[in-house]
Amino acid sequence: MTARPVLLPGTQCVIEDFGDDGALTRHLLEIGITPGLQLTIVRRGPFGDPVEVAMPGTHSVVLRSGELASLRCRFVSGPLAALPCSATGRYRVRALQGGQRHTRRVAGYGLRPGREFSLLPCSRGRYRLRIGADAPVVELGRGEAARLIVEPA
Amino acid sequence: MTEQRRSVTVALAAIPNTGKTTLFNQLTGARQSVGNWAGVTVARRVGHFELGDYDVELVDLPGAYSISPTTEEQRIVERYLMQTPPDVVLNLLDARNLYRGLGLTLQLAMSGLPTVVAVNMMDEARRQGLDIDIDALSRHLGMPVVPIVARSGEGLEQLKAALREVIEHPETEHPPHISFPPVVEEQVMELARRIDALPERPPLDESLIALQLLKGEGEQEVLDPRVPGSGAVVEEAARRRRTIEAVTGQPFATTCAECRFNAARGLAMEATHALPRVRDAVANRLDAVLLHPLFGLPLFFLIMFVLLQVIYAIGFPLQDAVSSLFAALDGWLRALAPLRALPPLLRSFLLDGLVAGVGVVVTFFPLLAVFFVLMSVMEGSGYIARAAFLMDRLMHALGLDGKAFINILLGYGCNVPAVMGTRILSSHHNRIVAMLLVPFSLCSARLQVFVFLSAILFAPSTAALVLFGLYAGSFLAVVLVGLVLKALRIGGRPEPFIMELPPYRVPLLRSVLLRAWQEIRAFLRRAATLILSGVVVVWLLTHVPADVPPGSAGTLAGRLGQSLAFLFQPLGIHWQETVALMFGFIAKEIVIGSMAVIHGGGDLAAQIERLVTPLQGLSFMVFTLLYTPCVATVASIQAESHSWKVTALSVGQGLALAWLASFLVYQGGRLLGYA
Ligand SMILES: Nc1nc2c(ncn2[C@@H]2O[C@H](COP(=O)(O)OP(=O)(O)OP(=O)(O)O)[C@@H](O)[C@H]2O)c(=O)[nH]1
Repeated sequence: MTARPVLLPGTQCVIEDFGDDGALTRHLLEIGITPGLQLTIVRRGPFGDPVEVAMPGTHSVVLRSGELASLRCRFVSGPLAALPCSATGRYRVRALQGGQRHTRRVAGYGLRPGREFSLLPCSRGRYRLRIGADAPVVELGRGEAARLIVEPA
Repeated sequence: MTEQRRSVTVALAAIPNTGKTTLFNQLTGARQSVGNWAGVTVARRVGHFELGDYDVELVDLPGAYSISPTTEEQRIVERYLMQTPPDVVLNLLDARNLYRGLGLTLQLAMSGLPTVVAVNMMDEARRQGLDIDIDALSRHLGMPVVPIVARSGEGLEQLKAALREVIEHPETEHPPHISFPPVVEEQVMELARRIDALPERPPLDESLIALQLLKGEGEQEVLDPRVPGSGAVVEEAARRRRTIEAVTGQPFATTCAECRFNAARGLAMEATHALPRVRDAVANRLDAVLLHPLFGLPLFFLIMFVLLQVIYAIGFPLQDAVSSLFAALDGWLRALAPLRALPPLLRSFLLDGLVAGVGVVVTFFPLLAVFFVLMSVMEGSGYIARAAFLMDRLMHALGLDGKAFINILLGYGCNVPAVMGTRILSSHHNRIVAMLLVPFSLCSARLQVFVFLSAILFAPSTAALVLFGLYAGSFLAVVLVGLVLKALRIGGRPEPFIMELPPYRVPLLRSVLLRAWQEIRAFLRRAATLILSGVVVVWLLTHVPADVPPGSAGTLAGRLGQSLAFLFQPLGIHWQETVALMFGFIAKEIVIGSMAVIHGGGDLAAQIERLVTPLQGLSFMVFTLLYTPCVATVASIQAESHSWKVTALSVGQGLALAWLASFLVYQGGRLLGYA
């Protein structure tokens, strides 16, 4: 899967390449952010930017998402909402976050931890999921998708 | 062994935030001097200590992640190591940040320079239950590794012993070999042979030089272009880089960093048995509050508000106390018989020129102390980086990063330390732009003028509105000038924003006080002369010729004020006020006192009320808000930027904006029917 995940808090991804050889890339390389490294998006600033990025074995780093525009990072796990609409394919539910009402409703669709599903192309900004071969399609809004933690199956 | 003492140079190299400054202070104590690296705004600190028979000169290199010319700091380190290599390198690692630090360590190891590694922050590592296998590190790096706690001095004796050992027997080191893909190894070896054949080259290992050249950036730092054959080698490097990239399919810089950091990761794993969890529970909990998407910013503003309150509650009263001490001294000097016997002009020069100038310099000391104590507490605690995180999005609009906001905000206390504080910013571009913006923040001295004038000219409720408007105007000026500077690309190309979030720490009192002391010394050494000259120039303008009252129509300033009337008439500013503005160059709070002198004594408030309409007063205040900050600010800008061009730009843009804004206010007001 090559589609770029959105840098939402909780997203984990592995750097594939930087897409360019500019000043920022050189900077990142020099502080040990190299292809193959797993990044975790910790949080975003109050106006949506910058992004705090954590990585194993070293202090976390603050970057601007605009400057990361050409970074390609393979999605490892994170909120469903971090996936662009084009990232169709098989995924597995890792965890449900949020309040009890929310978890109960999502679990009611059959989206329990461990369960696999297919992500279909979005429609009108809503994520469409199919859990079984002839199960009905489940539609989730952004808010719900932000609290459903998934990983590629 | 001879009795003669020998001197050796040791360079302290580390990535930022590893405790380099702390170790430097521990090793050299007060025996240090702070200067600048040639032609740049980065501080250069050199200190001395004794090591048996050796006099060690310790050079504190700027914090650098890598020996390569990506940032100004790193360029300095690369140039220093390539062109004037030290006898020994002392490389400092943070025990909790081994992976990132080892990237630099491995480059140093490749350089062939004798190196001693110190692993700092062992206390924090222990507290986190992190067990570091020092022997394994030492074995793999092939160089001595010493665990230390720079803060408490633990392990320093062992570190000194290791240094001494390496100074005496540099040949015992066996730096590791970093494995690269075969094509890289091959190309590096061949290029290294060519470098070896050059008549002149840096005395470092030729493979490192080859690697640096292959990156294709900043070759002139590595090879002196005047050396015959160096141009051909640089060209060959470019050719070989293309050969490598054709095989590996990615930029050479990526390959190079990947190999180095793979080795670093291996070493860090070897030393800690697992890549440690870096963030501790305390930091997580603090960050959850301080960086909260909703509460983070209000908390930040609360903290900044408290800081400004502390400056107002402690800094300014102290400044006043020093001023009154100085006034007493001045009175005593004036009464002194030998001085009274002097010709009036000379006496006035001594008292109103020189002594007053020294007074301006001295009154800044307590303020600087309070400022930099607060500043280094913020820095040492790790909060500055958090503040930068919170403010970055907004400051990015001005082409700055979040840290610069703190400087500009502190400028609302006093511009001088705020300009000096730009040194903590992360690139040349940010430092220059920030120091050009700080002078538009409405400092306490200007506030005094505004409070005084608006109380005379306006009803209390209107006066409050006027003050609020001036604050808003100041803010607007910062934003507008920021946008213009960004569009004009003043300060060069901005560097990308990459900031490590350091852990929270309790700042060390000793470091905080030392920092305040060093800042005062730097101010004295670098800005005092210029301040004194500025005050003397103003004295000359306002006191010559001597047979008329100071600042009156007959003085140089008075005549200048009158001949500039064509410029100030459209602003509704009389020549008397123009002279007061000239006085204001010494310090803004002098404006009021000088008005009293210029108007020839008597009840100043009544005179102003009689001579100046509210609209003219408003125009005067707007001009005061925006025009040239005081001479001390100008001197600090010169001292920090090392550039007369930047200094002139600062003065020029202030005057131009002040004129324009006052013109709009005055003429706009008249159009609206005010007088
Ligand atoms: N716990 C602990 N803290 C330390 C130690 N050494 C330094 N520190 C703290 O680490 C912080 C950074 O130290 P500095 O000496 O300013 O680090 P630096 O490497 O000079 O930082 P830059 O100037 O940003 O490059 C300060 O708050 C120090 O008090 C140590 O051994 N243990």
